[in-house]
Amino acid sequence: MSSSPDSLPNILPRPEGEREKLEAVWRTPQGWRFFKSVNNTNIGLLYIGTALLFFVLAGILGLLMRMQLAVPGNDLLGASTYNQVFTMHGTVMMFLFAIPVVEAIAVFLLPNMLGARDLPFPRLSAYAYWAYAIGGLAFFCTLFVGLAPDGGWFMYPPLSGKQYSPDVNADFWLLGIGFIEISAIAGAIELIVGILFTRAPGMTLSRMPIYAWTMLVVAVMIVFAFPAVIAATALLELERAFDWPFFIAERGGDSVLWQHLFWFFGHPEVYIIFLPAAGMVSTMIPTIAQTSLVGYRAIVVALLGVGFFSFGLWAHHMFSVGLGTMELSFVSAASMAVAIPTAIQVFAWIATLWRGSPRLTAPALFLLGFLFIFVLGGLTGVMVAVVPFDWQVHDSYFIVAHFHYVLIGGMVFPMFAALAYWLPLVNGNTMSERWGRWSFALSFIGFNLAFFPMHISGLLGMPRRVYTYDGTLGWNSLNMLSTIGAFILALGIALFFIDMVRTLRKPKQHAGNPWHASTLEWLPNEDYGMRSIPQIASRDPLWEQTGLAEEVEQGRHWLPGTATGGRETLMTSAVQATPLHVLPLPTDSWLPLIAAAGTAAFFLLLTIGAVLPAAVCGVAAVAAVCGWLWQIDRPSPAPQARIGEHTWLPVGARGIASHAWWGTCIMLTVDLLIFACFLFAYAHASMSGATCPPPGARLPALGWSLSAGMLLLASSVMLEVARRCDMHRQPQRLLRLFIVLAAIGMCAAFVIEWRGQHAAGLDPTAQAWSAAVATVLAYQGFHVAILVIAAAYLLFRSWSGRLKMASRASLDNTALIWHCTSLQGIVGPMTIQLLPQWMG
Amino acid sequence: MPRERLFAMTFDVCAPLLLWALHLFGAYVFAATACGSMSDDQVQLVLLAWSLIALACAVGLLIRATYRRRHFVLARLLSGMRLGCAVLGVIGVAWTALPLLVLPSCGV
Repeated sequence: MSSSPDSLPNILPRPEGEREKLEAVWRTPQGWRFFKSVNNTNIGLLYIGTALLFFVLAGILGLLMRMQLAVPGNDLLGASTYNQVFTMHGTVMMFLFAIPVVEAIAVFLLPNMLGARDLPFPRLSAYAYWAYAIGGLAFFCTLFVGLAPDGGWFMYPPLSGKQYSPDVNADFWLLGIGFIEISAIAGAIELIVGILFTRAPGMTLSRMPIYAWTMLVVAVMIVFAFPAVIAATALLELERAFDWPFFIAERGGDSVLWQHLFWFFGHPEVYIIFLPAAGMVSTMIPTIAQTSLVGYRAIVVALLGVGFFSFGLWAHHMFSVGLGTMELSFVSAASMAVAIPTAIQVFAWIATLWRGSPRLTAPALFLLGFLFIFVLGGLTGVMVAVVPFDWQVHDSYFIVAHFHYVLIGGMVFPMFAALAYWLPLVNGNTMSERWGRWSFALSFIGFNLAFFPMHISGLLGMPRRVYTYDGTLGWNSLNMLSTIGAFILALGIALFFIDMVRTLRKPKQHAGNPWHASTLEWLPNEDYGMRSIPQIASRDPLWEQTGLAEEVEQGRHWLPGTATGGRETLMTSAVQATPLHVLPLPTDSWLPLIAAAGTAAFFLLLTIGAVLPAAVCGVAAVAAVCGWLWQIDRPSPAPQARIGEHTWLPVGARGIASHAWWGTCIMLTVDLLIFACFLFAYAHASMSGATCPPPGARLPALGWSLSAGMLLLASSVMLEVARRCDMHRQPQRLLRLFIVLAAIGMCAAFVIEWRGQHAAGLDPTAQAWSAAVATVLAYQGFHVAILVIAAAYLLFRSWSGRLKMASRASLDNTALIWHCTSLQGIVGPMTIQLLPQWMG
Repeated sequence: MPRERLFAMTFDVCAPLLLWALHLFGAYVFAATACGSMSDDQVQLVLLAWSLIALACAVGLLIRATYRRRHFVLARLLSGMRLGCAVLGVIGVAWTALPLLVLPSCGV
């Protein structure tokens, strides 16, 4: 298939200086100013580099653990240090390496793979990266001062409660992880909107690269899974900081609540880590086999299936907690069912390799290693889904072996394959085949030597998280083997990284398409992405659209220069990828970095009790975010822009057509889910006791909640009226009046609700039920505080003449948040009132 | 913006998986809350009825996906996804309900 020259959107010759102007607009700042860059390529590379740094650091901690366990009765690490080391190993690997690296690779790859110039919210990507990097490094440094968390990577209470963990170690985990999750959610918003709306024209859903499908499913899973862990960490921190006893049994709390919330996030997280790796595998295998992917549609179905099923498996980590037989059986069955969609993908990969002519390059070897190790991990996964078997091996080294087979096999091996495969995109050089083969051989042998014996030591009864063991238990040689294997694995990984650094230090050259791949990221590209945005007519464009690379590079396709004089990309429709409008993109700025540093410092300083410096950093973060929003909400530089010889598109959009509207809606979904988790905590606390409300607590009179609800409705109506005011009329007195009235209504509703609870004698420290009620109320208060700031911001914009018809995204998106807060403010108190009555 | 009915299409494709989720969570919550207040037989009966309804709906969605695949001109991807998700939905609901046939609902 090739395009007829006449059918291309633009003609030759291109105007003089067009490319130079494009380069100037997108040029990466040099020197120390590089760190204000927000371009997806730069942020993606920083993100990947930082995630790999955490991988190495956590790997070193893993080696320390293996050295400690190499021989019985070892005293290399004491019990307390060992507790910190294994907690940090797990936490850093899961939260600071595995999730960030999959988002990082997506930030780097996806725009080019989709034919976009950048992601739709470049500054949000930069913010997410810097919050993660600064917060993560500060969090890791707690290890050097003995303040690292020591309660295991899933921080079960009551061990992580104040009684058994009185120091700030656990607080570092809770606050540190909390905002790192927020950063992950920011990344997910970016990916969803980017994948749905910035694909190249013609790249319909059925032509979308399978990796983009994977990241779309994963990003949606992040949106649904992560609120649970944010809510859980908030509850535990409230317990630790203010003695609100959610997990203290003596006061009606229940530590099982933590496990429900944590694993509702924790189990999907395994798939959030695995699926992107599977997406990369599905992209690389067709190239390696030089044939198109077998079962594209079946894989998309499998991705959706895994996405759904993974949420039904949360309680399979809780088989030994004491849940009912039937509940366990349902979850056990669901745990086995997830093997079906996972197997669909494995068979599709095998079939693709079977149909093609695979070349055994280094990335191919890592992929074959992945298939072998991951299938073994999957099989032991089905074993532990069987309840009686799980009871026997729970918390033993069998489980350690299982999840390392799944995670290292399912994610780390594909990641190495991906790094070797896509590294030429960075500076045009390919890694050494010889080094790659050695690295693979050592990693594969070392991995199996390290982790296979752990199955046996687990079956022999060795519990996980013990810092030493008695020499007479029969575990000595197995542990020694594991330690030797771990060091061989480390040697293989070290070889890989040394070769990677060697390759990156080579002079830059033109990448070309070294693997003869079919996807768009192999088109020639610079800081601006590709010269022109291609018209796509196939699922494998570089194989089936001959001459595409030359046409794109010549500027024959869409938007070959900068149509508005600034950074921009094309927004296309979600299903058919029809061009909709030109999206102006923000330029480089220090504000995301300042906002992220402020956010990270706020949480970390708060943890060590430095309230005043924390407050200063918090204010700096809020100011930076306001400044950032102030800059980007401005009228379009031109009403229309020319993207093809005969094609003009509007610049920017409002309402549902705007990317900001979609971003806000996704953020509000997260917000509502956190709120739902708090309501779940309330329901759990209500059902834990013999009576509801428990003795000593009572419900406020219904009138308080009804009055507050009426005020909230009125407040939302006021804001909606403000939103519909004529913005052309200056001064905007009426608009400002309605914003002020809406804000007063919102605050008054909260005060009334709070007064009602106060009159009912609400004491959050008395019992878990009251603490849950206070949490719902406090969450509403948090939103009201944000809306007061937002209202002040809107008034300020209006006074300065910047709230116009053409720059009204701030108002429209604030209205969405406003209505959502009103909804929460009505549903929360009503649930608090109605649930005890329903329970009788 | 062209009317592409993104949400309707997503719901249409994912309906069998949503049904599976609804069945699992409903059965889980009912088993967790009803065992203290109802007899084993009553709980078993309700769960079986719930599972049969869910299974009937899943089979209905599968038949609908097959029928629409045969009789309407639809994009191949969407019809394939609808059918695939419907198959997964039937398997998921049936498999998740199997323990009801072999275990007491409120057994220890």
